Amino acid sequence: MKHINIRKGVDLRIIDEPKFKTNQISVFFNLPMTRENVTKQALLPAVLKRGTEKYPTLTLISRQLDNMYGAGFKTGVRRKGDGEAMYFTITYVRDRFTGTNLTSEVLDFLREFIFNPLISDGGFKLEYLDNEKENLKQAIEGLINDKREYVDVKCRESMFKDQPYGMYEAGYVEDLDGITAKNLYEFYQKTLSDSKTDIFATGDFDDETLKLIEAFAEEFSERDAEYVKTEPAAADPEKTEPDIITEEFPVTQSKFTIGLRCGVDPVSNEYYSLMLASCIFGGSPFSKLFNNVREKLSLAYYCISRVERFKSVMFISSGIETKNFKAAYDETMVQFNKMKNGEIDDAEFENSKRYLISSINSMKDGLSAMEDYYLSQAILGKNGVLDDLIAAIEKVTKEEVSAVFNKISVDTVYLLKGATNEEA
Amino acid sequence: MNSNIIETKTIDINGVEAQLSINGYLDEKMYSFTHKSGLKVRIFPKKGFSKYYAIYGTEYGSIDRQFVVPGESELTTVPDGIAHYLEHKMFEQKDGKNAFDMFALTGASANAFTSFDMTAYLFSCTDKFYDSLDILISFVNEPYFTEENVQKEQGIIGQEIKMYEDDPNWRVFFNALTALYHNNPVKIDIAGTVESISHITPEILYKCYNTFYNPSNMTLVLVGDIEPEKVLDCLDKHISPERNLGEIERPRLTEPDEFFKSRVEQELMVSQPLFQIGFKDNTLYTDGEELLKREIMTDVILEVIFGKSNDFYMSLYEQGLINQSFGSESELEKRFGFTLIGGESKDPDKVFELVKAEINKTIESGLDKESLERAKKTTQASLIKLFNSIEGMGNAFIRQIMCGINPLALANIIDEIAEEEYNERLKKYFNTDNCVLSVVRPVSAQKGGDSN
Repeated sequence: MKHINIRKGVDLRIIDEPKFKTNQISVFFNLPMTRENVTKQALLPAVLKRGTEKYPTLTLISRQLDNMYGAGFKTGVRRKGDGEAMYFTITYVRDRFTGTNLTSEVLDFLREFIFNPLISDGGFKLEYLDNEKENLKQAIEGLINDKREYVDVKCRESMFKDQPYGMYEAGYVEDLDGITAKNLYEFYQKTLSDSKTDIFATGDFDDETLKLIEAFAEEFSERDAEYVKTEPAAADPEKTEPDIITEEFPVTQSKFTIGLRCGVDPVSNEYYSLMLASCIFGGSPFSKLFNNVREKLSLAYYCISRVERFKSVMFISSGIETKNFKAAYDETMVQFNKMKNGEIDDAEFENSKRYLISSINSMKDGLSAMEDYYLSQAILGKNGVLDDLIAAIEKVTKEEVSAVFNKISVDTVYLLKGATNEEA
Repeated sequence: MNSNIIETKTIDINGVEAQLSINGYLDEKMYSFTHKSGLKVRIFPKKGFSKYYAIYGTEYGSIDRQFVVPGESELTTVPDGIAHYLEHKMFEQKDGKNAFDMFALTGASANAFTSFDMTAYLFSCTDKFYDSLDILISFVNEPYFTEENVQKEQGIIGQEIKMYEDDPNWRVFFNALTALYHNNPVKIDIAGTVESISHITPEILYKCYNTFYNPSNMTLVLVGDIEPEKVLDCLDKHISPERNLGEIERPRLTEPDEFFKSRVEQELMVSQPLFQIGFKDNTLYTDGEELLKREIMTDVILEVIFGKSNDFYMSLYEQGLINQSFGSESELEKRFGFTLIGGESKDPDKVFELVKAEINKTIESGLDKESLERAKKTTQASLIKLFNSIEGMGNAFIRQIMCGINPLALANIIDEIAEEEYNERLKKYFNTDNCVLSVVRPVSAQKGGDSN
C-alpha cells in the first residue's frame, strides 16, 4: 500500500492489486457521532445521491453508471467507534476489459457528486430532501424487520445511553422535521471543507491513471482535522450484576444479545489476544458456544460472539425458545468462566488461531475488505499491513487469552421475548 | 466489449481424459473431467488469490419428496425438510465429533446449504487446501446416523425454522411461491416444519443418502491455484467407482400453467408492507444453452423494464411508492422456474397495478432499443465481476454446471440473442393475467419498540 499525504487533513492511499476484474475508488469523510448531527449524517449521502448539476435525476445517474460498464456507486455511513465514516464508493470494470480509460470518467462522476450537488435557492432540492426523509424514516422504523439486528442495536443503545457509541447510525425520526434543504446543505459544505478526508484507490492502475487520481485528491482543500478518538469501554467497578432488559414482541423465536465491556486499548498488543479469545469463545463452528449451546444442548441454531475493535465491546447473540432463555444464558456463562479460568485445551487454541489467521488472509481477496481494514488502521494511527496482524496473532499465548477475558465484564442482557401463543 | 473466444483442448490428467477450456479475453481457464465414479469435476485455476474454494454438491433438494430407492420398485415419499436435515447430519462423525472439528485442524472455514434442488458442502481456506479437500470428500462419503444424533438435531433445526418464520423477507418470498404453485413441491418450505421433521429417522436418512449421494448425481467445483492431479488422487482415495448408480428415478413433476391463487397476505412484525409479484415459468425439463438463454433474456428484460435507469423506476421512487429495496430476481431451473419483483411499499396494490400496466405497455411497444443495449452491457459487466470472488465463482458455477451450462461461455450467449427473441420472451412469459401478489403487512395491533 502506498500512502500519500496530499495536504493537511487529506490523504490518498493506493492499494495495488492486479488480480481483480474491477477497481474501486472511495472518498471518506470522518465525522463524530453526535446526537445533534447523527440523523443529518445518515440523510446527507442519500440526498447527494439523488442528483448533481450534470446528472439531475436518478435516471440520468443510473444511465451514466450503465454507460460506465455497469459501475456500482454506493454512499452511506459506516460506524468506526465513536465516529463514523461517510463514504462515496465506486466500483468499475478495469480498463483492460473495456478498452477505454474508465478511471477518468469515474473520477468525473465522483467529482460531480462531491463538488457539484444539485442546489437551488441555497439548498438541496426540496423534493429530493422530502423523499429521502421519508425513506430514512422507513429505514429507521424498519429496524424491527430484522429481529437479530434489532436486538443488537437495542443492547448497544442500552449500554451506551446518550453516548456517541449508543446512537443508531440511521438516526432518529424526531430529528427529521428540523432538517431543512438549507441547513443540510450548510452541513454538507462544512463536512466537505472541514472533515478529515481519506481517498482510497484499490486495484490496478498505470502511472497515467495514478496521476489522474492524485489530481482528484488535490481538489480537496487543506483542513485542520483529525480522526475521531474513541475511548474503549472499560468495566464499571460499581456494577456487580448485569442489567437485564426484556421486551415482548409477537414473534415465534426469542432472541438475546449480551453486551460486554472489554476495556482493551485497540492499538495495544492485548487487542490481538482479545481477537483470538473471542474466536475461541464464540467465533467459529468449533467454538465453546457452538459446541455447547448448540451441539451439546441443542438450544439454538446460532450462538456467536464478536468483538468491536474501536470501542472494545463484545456482543454475544443467540435465538432460542422463550422457555430456554435461562438454560442458554447459564451455559453461555459457564463457557465464559471457562475462558476466564484458562480451561482451553491445546487443540481448540491452535485450531482457533488457524481459523482466525485464515479469515484474515481471506481479506486480501476482497477489494472492500482491504479498503476497510486500511481505513481502520489509518483511524487508529497504525501502519501495519494484514501480514503484521497475522504475525501478532501467531504470538498470542493461552495465558494472554484468559488474562484478557478476566478484564471483560457482562454489562447488559437484552432479551426480545417471543409472545405468541405457541409456548407452553 | 470484445466478443469472447473459448479454446478447448483435450488433455490427459494421470490417465483421465480431461478438457481444458480457455477464455483468453477474460483471462480465465477451466478443467473439466468426470471421475470414474461418475462424479463431475470442474477446476477454475486462479493465480494471485490467497483463497481456495471447494464446493461439492448433489442434485438433491427440498423438492425431491418422492423417488425410487435403487433396488426397489415402489415410489418412496419422505417427510418435508429431509434434504436439509440430512445436510445437517452429514457433519456427524463416527467418533462423536463433527466435520467442523476436522476442518479446525486445517484452518478451513466450512459450511453447507440446501436449496430447492441442490445440497452443497463447501469450504474456503488459505492454506492446506488438499488436506481440507480430503476432509470434505471423505465426510460427505461417510454418513453416520444414529437414533441419538438424529434426535439431537430436532432442537437446532427447530430454532432455524422459527428464525425463518420471523423473517419477513423470507415469508413474503415463500408465500408468493405458495400462490404460484398447485403441486410443485417448490412451494414447500426447504427446512420443513417442526412437525414434519419429527418423523425423520436414521433409516429414512440412509435411504435418501444412498439414493442421492451417489457420485453420478454429484458435482465438485474447485477454485484457486489448484493442481488437477492431486485432486484426482484424493477422489480415487475416497470414492469407489462401484458407487456409480447412474440415473435416479424421480417422478416427473407436473404443474398447471395457471397460478394457484392470485394473492396471499400475512401479518408480521414489520414497519411497512413488503410485497412480491410472482410469475411462473412452466417450461420444465430443459437445460444447457436453452435454459441459459431463457435466463439471460429474463434478466435483461427485467433490467430494461424495472432497472434503475428506466423512467418507470424513477417515477415510482419519486412518488414514494418504492425505495432502494425494490428489485427483481429469477430462478429458472430444470424442475421449476419463477420471477419475483418486489420490495417495500406503503401501497403494494398500487405498485402491482402499475407494474402490470408497465409490462403491457412494453409488450405493446416492444423493448426500447437503447435500453436493451444498455441492459446487455451491464449484464455482461456483472458477469465479468463474478470472476472477482473465489466463493462467488464456486457458488454460481456449480449450479450452472449441474444445468449443463459452460460458465466461461456466458457472455457469448448475450451477443447471440436477437432482439425479436427478447420481445418474444417478454410476451410469452410476462403474462399479467397469470401473476400473483404476496404481501406481508404490519401486525394490526402492533406493539412498537420504544424510541427512548
